[in-house]
Amino acid sequence: MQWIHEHSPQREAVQGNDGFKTRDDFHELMARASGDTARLTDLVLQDAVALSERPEIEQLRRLVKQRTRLDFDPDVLLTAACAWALESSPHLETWKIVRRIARHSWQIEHGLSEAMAARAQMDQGARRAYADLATQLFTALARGDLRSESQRGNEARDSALSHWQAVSYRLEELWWGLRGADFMMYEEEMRVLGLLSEIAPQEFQKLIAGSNNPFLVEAALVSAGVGAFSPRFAQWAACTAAAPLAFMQDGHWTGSVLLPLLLVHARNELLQSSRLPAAQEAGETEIAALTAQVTELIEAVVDVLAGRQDARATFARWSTWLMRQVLLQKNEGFDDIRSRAFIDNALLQAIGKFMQGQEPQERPQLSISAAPEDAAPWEAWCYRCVLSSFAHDGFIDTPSFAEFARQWQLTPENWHEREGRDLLARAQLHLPREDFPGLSANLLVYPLASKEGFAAAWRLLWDRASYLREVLEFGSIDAKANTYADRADASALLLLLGCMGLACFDQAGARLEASSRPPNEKAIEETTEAMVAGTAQATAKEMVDLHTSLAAGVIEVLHLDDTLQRDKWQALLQHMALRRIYWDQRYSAGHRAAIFARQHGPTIQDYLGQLQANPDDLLAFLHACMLNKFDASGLRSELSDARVDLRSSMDTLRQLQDLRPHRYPINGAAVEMIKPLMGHSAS
Amino acid sequence: MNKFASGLTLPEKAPRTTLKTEILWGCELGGSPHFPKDMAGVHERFYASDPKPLETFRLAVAEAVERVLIMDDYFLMPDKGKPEDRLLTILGWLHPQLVASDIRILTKKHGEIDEELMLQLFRDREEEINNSQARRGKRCSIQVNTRLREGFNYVHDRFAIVDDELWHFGATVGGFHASVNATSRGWRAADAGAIDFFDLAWHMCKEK
Repeated sequence: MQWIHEHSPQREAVQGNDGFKTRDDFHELMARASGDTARLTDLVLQDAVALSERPEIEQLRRLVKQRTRLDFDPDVLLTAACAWALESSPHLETWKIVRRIARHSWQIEHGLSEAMAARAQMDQGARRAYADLATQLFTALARGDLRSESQRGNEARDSALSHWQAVSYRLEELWWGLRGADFMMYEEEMRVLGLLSEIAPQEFQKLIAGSNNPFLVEAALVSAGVGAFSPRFAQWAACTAAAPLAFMQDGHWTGSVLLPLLLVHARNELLQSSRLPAAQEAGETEIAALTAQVTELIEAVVDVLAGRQDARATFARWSTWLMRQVLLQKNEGFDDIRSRAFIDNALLQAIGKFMQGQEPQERPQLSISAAPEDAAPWEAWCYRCVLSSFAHDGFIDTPSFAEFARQWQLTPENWHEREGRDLLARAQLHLPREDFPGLSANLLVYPLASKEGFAAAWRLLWDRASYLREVLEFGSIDAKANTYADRADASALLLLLGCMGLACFDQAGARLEASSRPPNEKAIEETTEAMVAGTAQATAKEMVDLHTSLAAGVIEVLHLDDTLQRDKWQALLQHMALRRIYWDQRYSAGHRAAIFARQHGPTIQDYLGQLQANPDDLLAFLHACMLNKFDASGLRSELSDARVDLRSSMDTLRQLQDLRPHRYPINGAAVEMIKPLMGHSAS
Repeated sequence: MNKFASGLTLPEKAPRTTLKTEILWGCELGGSPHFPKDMAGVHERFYASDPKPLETFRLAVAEAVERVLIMDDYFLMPDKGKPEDRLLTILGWLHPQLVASDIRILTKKHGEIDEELMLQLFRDREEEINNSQARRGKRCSIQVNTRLREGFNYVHDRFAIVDDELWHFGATVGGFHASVNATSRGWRAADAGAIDFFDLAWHMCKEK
């Protein structure tokens, strides 16, 4: 198994650079220079030290030509001399001299690890010496004893470490990929650490497993071919299998930075594959092939993790982060490798398959009451979304809704205390954006929506949040001068509940539509037609009830809300109205099951009455009706029965536009599209 | 996971006006589509005691009907003159008949500015706007956050979003700066992801 990048032609081109001396070149040089070894070694161990704190590279170049008659570039000879010196004296002091020499020559700096690798291949003693040296370097770096030659590098290390000490949620910092820190701050030692991973992999694993300095571990991983310049899947898999326990059975993070960093690298590699120019410009056949390759890689990543002792807890904490990324994307295109959420979604699916068949008690709970102390506030709800997603895909049983529902029971006493503030903090990532009802609302409400009694359960949830409606209407005493922001916060939370209601309605509708399709053979064996019909009828009845409660809630808020959330409530009302028509028996005939009879309230006419107060809202809504291909003659009658004079409304809108074109824009395409709704006199 | 989609959609809102991209340089006429023509033009601007802001931006803010979002460390802090004068100029743009409801200024703290007084002046103007207009669907909200450096120290350029339009400023938002600098306008804020980006920065700068 290889990362997609491992077989990219671009990578070979970089490695094939002619100016880059390989270990084969050094093999040849070292074999030919065997007679000069001692003199060249002394050049570094004695002359370079004697020269000064800052050896003059030109002087060393002259000296090296005096010590050998071999016709090699002086910098290449100096590189070999440094490798011999480190073999003969594998100590920090020697390393500091070599590092100073290397700072003055690109060739020495970049060729040194190849020269050392050549010596390690030639001689067991050299291999041991270099392994000892690399261990000393890592240990000194971890203790902060080995400072960089570059002041800037030292400042970067200090700043990164002090940020790390101050950060509240370190695991989240790791998931973010140590933002703002550059692993190149350990550049001087990285190649030696990379060599250690090659000549003594177990010692390398032990070193990085024992360190809690994430920046140093990250630099070591990069040097060992886990990420950045030359990532190799085999190396990633070996490090992952050997990494120490990162999570306890209950989901607590042990503080070990290695595994989370390895997970970040795996995700980055997968993301890179989907962002290759080839993926963006390829035809369907190439896309299908790339999708298959990447899917196979994703399964391989999950397989490696599944073999670890802490697999379940790792999946629980990582999937929470992956879900956070998915929720930031629009609820579409997850099956397309070119979309931003493809990789995270596919990883979640592969993890879901691993969870299949496990008992709930076998996985960490990570619930609000049992959240690990190291978990950030956003994690509890994202984990709920993970469980809902897995349940929806049939991997696990539907999780309970009770604890989630309890959070909404707010009082004047606790709204500005921990309960209220925690609710706001947890909800932040899930507050509705443009794509109503949104993926978050769908996943959060799934446990409620997937069971009988969903209409009453949503109503109970809404009623429990009655204090939020009080805050929205009157403000809360504790808000002091920030009454407006306080009311807007309450409205935003209520809007999330409203969107959850809408999502619940949609999910029930999707079940109803699925049940009205011809059942497959397995379903026939398990159920009878009467049972299916009975369930469908009950679902339809509940949808009517839910619609009534939800519409009453939305209209109530629209009477109260003058905050910035108001436009979103208007949009929610329009979404409700669209569904009222879509599921009405007069519009659904022959296409799908009907749930609304004409008289079910709010009726279509009630909605039209609400919307006509703002001509531009009415125009937008009727435009949506036409785009959704609702029957125009039926809508025309509804408008007439609701005493909505569409022509007059559009005239008003035009007059307003004439007065203030910027304030009252008219969508010409929408006006054109709703013409069939204006009656026969329209032309 | 897009199996939750209902298939029912509302169309996106059409842009209020057709946006036209243009670039404007700060000058003592209140903005010009050309670089200064000569050293006299450069000097006139550079040595002006109170460099004139961009007239088109002032007009856009004064006529905004939905939102005015500003992200700039130095929006409230002039490089010449007194901060109170800058504040009064900006308050003039946010006049009592302003239609827009969502006014947010994300900036940094300056020792020279009396923050309590500044916030009070914006609060007073907010109240005046809300009280002087009989029918408003949404209350006007003017919010100023001075934690841009602490909460979101990742931004170099300066931006403003007025209704659907994104403005990009080479120097202070509003074109107050005396050195040669340009402003570009006419970008669709939603297409550029500007509103989401502003919301992200605003959220990161909230008091924790």
